[in-house]
Amino acid sequence: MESILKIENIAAGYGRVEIVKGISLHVSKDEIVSIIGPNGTGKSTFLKAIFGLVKVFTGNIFFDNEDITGLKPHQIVKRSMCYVPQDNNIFPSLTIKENLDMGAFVRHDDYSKNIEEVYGIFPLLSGFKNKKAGELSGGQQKMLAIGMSLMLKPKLLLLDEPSAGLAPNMVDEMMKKIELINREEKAAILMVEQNAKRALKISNRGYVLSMGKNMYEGTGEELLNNKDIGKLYLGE
Amino acid sequence: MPQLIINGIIMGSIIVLGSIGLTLTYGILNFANFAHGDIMAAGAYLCLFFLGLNVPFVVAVILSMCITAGLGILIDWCIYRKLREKTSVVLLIASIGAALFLRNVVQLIFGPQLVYYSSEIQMAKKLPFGIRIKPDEIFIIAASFLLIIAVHLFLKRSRIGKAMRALSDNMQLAGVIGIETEKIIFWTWGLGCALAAAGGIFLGLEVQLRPMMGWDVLLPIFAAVILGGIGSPYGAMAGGMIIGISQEVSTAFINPAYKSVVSFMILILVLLIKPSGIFGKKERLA
Ligand SMILES: Nc1ncnc2c1ncn2[C@@H]1O[C@H](COP(=O)(O)OP(=O)(O)OP(=O)(O)O)[C@@H](O)[C@H]1O
Ligand SMILES: [Mg+2]
Repeated sequence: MESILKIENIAAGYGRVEIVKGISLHVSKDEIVSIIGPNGTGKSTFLKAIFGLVKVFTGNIFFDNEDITGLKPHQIVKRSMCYVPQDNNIFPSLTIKENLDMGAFVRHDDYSKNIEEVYGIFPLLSGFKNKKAGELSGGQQKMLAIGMSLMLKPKLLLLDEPSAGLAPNMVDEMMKKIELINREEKAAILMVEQNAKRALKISNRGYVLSMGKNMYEGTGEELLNNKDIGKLYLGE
Repeated sequence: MPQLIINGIIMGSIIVLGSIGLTLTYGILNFANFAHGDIMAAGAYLCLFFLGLNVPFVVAVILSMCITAGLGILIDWCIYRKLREKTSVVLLIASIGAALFLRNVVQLIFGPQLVYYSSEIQMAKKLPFGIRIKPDEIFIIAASFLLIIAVHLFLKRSRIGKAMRALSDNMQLAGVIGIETEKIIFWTWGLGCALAAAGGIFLGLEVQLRPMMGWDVLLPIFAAVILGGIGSPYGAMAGGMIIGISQEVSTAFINPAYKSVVSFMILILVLLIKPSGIFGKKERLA
């Protein structure tokens, strides 16, 4: 399958401090790809660099065969890539419905069908359309954050730790939703995950990062069965 | 007492109009705009200018609101926009500079003396419960009420209005989902300063015009914003009414000369007991 995202050896960071020190990666149009690695290794910084939130020093980012290196988030969003940050990813004083409206802010057509679709994927949310998002539980807020990003029918979703802070049964639920979104909404998914095992189980492929660089790459299964990775990152 | 409550509602309406803009820009840009009071004064004097040209009062109000909106946008464009990357203290000091500048321009053009919109003496109408109210005051309450309803509909229904509330919640996320934040900030200044102009004009109508009028009303406005919760327009509406009414009612017990102490005390109490305010989610101070 053709790749939707192709990253060639990018370096990125804050100010002049280089955090991402040469990462290459690609995601195909129908894939779920996970990024795992120790804390503070630059996983979040890497996602932010793809999305134009952090300065890219060298290297190139191609999205849908177009060079998007250095574009601003609002330009990238218009090309149908969405990013869901790890936290502070909803508007607490807006209602669920208003949050979804904001997700569709750049659209000028009628998106009411799309809202119904999101409620279809997250039926929990449709129960309190007019409730303030800040009053939802942590898990519901994460669902809403992903729901917002679906309002733009993204070709690629970047998810930063979608299961962080969730109760164990909610983690499984979240992984199922991600699979569902990948299958039904035809969105490729690139996600960073601490729950490495669970993430790799639903992933086509995975990358292990360390100190801002690629360490390993393989299919979900290969990485799950790799002894070194198991010891280092999967908590075995 | 009913009379004091009516007086409180009049002052409350004026404070609410001033505080909506302040709370929105405070919430979004994270700095306390000390020039907001002087923006109100500028609006009030613009109205005086138009009345001098024999423009009908309502038209003069609308024209002043539009021009003050432009003035607010211009100040943001020329001064604050360039300082957004800096700390909020830098912006705060810049806003004090803008306040002094505006006040001196007003004083230069219109002079330091007290002025009234009209020299006519109005007869107060007598209502039940011994309430006396002047036609101007009925106008202030009615017009403020209409403006507040309009703001409410705008914030709740319109795309730009919702985006303003979103920015006030989380500016970074707004950028991430593709909202062009600078555009929304632009509209926010326009809305906030237009309302401030209306507040300033109504203050001039109720009391009188003085170059210092905006600076003097800044304390109750800040008290209203912090009481309501920084960044919350609905909090500002509630906070403004509470401050206005408590100031006026307090005159039954203390010397009216000290009524502004009431806003100061409410401000201190809120900061000590519930710094995030009634509707606030953030605890922030300049
Ligand atoms: N805004 C920032 N300014 C400067 N340095 C930062 C900033 N954000 C993160 N860093 C630094 O960048 C490094 C990588 O952080 P990053 O959040 O990308 O790691 P991560 O792999 O996502 O870690 P975690 O598993 O904790 O989420 C850290 O050393 C961190 O201190
Ligand atoms: Mg991270």
